[in-house]
Amino acid sequence: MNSLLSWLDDRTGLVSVAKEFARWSIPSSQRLRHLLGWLVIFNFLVLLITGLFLSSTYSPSSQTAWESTFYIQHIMAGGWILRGLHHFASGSMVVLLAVFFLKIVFDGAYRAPREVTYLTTLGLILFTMGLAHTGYLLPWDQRGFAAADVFTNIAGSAPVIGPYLQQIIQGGNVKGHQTITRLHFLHVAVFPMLIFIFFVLHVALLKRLRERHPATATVPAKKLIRFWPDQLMTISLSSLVLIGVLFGLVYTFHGAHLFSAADPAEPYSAARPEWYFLFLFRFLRTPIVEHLGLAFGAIHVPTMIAVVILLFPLIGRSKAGYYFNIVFSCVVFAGIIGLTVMTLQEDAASKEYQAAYHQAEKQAERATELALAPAGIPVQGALTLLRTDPLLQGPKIYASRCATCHPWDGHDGLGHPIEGKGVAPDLANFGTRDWMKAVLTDFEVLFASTVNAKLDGEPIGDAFTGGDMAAWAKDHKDVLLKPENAGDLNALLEFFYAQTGRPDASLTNADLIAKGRDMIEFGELTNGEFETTCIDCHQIQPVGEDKALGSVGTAPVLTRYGSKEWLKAFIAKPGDKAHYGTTTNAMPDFETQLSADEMDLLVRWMTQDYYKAKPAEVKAVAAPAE
Amino acid sequence: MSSPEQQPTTLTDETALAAPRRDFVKGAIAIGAGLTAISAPIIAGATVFLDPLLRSKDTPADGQATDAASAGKPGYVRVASLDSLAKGEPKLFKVFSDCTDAWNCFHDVPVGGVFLKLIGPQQVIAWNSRCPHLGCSVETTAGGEGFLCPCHMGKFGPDGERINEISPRDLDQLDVDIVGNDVWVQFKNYRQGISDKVEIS
Repeated sequence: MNSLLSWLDDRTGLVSVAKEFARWSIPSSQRLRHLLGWLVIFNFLVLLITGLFLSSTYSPSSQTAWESTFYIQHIMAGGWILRGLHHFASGSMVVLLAVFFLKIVFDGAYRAPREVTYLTTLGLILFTMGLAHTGYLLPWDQRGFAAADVFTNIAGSAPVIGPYLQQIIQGGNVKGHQTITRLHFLHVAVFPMLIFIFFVLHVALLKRLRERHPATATVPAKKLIRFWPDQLMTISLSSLVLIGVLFGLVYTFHGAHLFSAADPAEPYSAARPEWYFLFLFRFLRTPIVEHLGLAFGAIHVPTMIAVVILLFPLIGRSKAGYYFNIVFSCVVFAGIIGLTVMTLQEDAASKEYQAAYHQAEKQAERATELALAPAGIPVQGALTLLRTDPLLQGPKIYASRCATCHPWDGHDGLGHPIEGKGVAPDLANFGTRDWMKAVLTDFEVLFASTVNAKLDGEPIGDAFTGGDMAAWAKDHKDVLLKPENAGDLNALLEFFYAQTGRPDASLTNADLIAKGRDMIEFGELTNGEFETTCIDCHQIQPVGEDKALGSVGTAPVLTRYGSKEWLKAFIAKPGDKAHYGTTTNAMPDFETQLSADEMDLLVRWMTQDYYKAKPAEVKAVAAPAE
Repeated sequence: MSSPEQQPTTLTDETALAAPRRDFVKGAIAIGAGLTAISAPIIAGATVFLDPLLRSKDTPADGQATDAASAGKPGYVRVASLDSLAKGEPKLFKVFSDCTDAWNCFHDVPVGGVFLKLIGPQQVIAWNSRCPHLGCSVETTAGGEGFLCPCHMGKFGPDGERINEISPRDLDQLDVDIVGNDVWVQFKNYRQGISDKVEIS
């Protein structure tokens, strides 16, 4: 054994190095700083290992970055744990470095003969922040994309070289494949390499320091702590606690969040950087900083602070300078913490931000649902799935085109509350059995808000609320709601629901539909009858019949009322004589305002015709209506 | 280093030995805890890296042809029409199917090739066009009699039987189903380089 060790030592010197480690002693005053340094190394190793494995699947391009991250997060065995570890380890790295830095300042550990060692530490901190920032852009989700925007724009705001720098980082005039490959290059090659170089320098300098100024020479033996095994035990146990905390965070938050794939053409109002850059985000939003410009806030001020920090060894030569450094660092950190807390508080209190964040979360969920669907992600990328999804796009179209008059369950379709009741019916229920029931029994209430609607500048007043249908509903509410007639009402609603042709409408009972169909023609109830039947005023061609009942003219045509086709025709020309006619209608024609694709997405959303993860559950919800 | 309970009246051998023993325990803890801590991210990473082996089998394996919506038997893909075949002359056809590749789904893309040979009315033999040796694409020989693999000169007879020792087995025959005028094939790939015909699943 001994001969083997000496052979190895002869060839490599490894055993001597190990023995040297074992002989180390640390002054007890430096124990905490020493421990922090080693924890930073451990934390960096965690990032390096998890990062290496992530790179075995991650694929940097604008059509695969989100998709491969999604694959890691949702499909691969333990992928979310690995990604979560990498994510939270980046956070703990930032925290450890901040504490480490403050400890150096308080210890005055930048003073002679440690000035250059201090500079290498600063380099390591700077490059680590570079890693932290480039890292969370790589998934190319909404947050990463927005952050990439900010990052490249800040680079672009630099004096003189800015625009060139921005083009180089982006790999062109706009963000795309080249932006991701370049950020990836920075993240996995440039910054790690710089860190490696600075780390080697740092260690060499520390070694030299130890040889030239051995602690054993100046510090009494009583105040020395042996590296082996005492300090190493502390380091190992602390590392174990750290990795335990990281696993705890991963488990608690179910790994790192993956927002929806980013669409460059869509606004994203929930954009926030990773928590450790919130201060900069908030600082840039401060009115005076905004006034002075992006370069002032994002480049000049940080550079000035960085220069002062670089000069700490010079300033700290005097006692007063040493205290100045402490105060300066504390002020900077207090500012950072203050701005961070301020942002969190403002965001928590802001209804707009909460709605935007909620919307982003919903979109992220939906993106996952679609990507997990049997149809999978097309080669064009997940963005195609999102852009053609009625559930995601419908509400956006509704919010911009419809919600000015029609609320959607009290909001604009996207969750922003609408003050008042609009000037037209809330359409969240449109086409459902509840809607049909309200039309038949509470028409006046359903259309109450239309009294404020304007036609050619003149309020239409009671055109709807005082119209024939409102009167019919008022007259027939009591008879329809009689307990003996419950079956009849149900049949009538079922009939109308079947006309919508919604995905779940075919499940309805054929006997009931037939019964309802007879009621619209003959108006007979178990107890009582309709004074005027539906087809006395409306024309309707029931599904499955080849002849229309009633005639066009006095009231809207009800053929396939509430279906996609009806809705499209209605939205295109609500004033058509098959619909409301020109005298009562106050809604503009959307025939030319909406493209065919927009119309399709809107209508499919309104009629719930889109992919759902568990159709079995939807059926189960619809069935008990019988 | 001295704890209260170990304050003997005299310095005995006991106390002299206690320090190294304590150091041994500390050293063991240091190494044990350190290795545990650093192995945690390694295990997490290795799990993801070994995902292809760990994934449950009920999801379609990556790269394998999934059943395209079809009128034929499950697992069969329509490859050609009977009209396009002449008796005794093997012809190469591409097999189109849906294909899952990690996060992407490709619809109706070429997933491989088959040789079809008409041997009688409504009777067709199909072979996977990959050579069982190392997976090159086999070609029909100039005379139309048999097959030749251009990579390592593996030769096969008109019925797909191997003629020289290059390929470890005959060409891989596939199941055929003829529906009306359409030839459907149950397309499969088999492991190369071994004498047994083992499906890659």
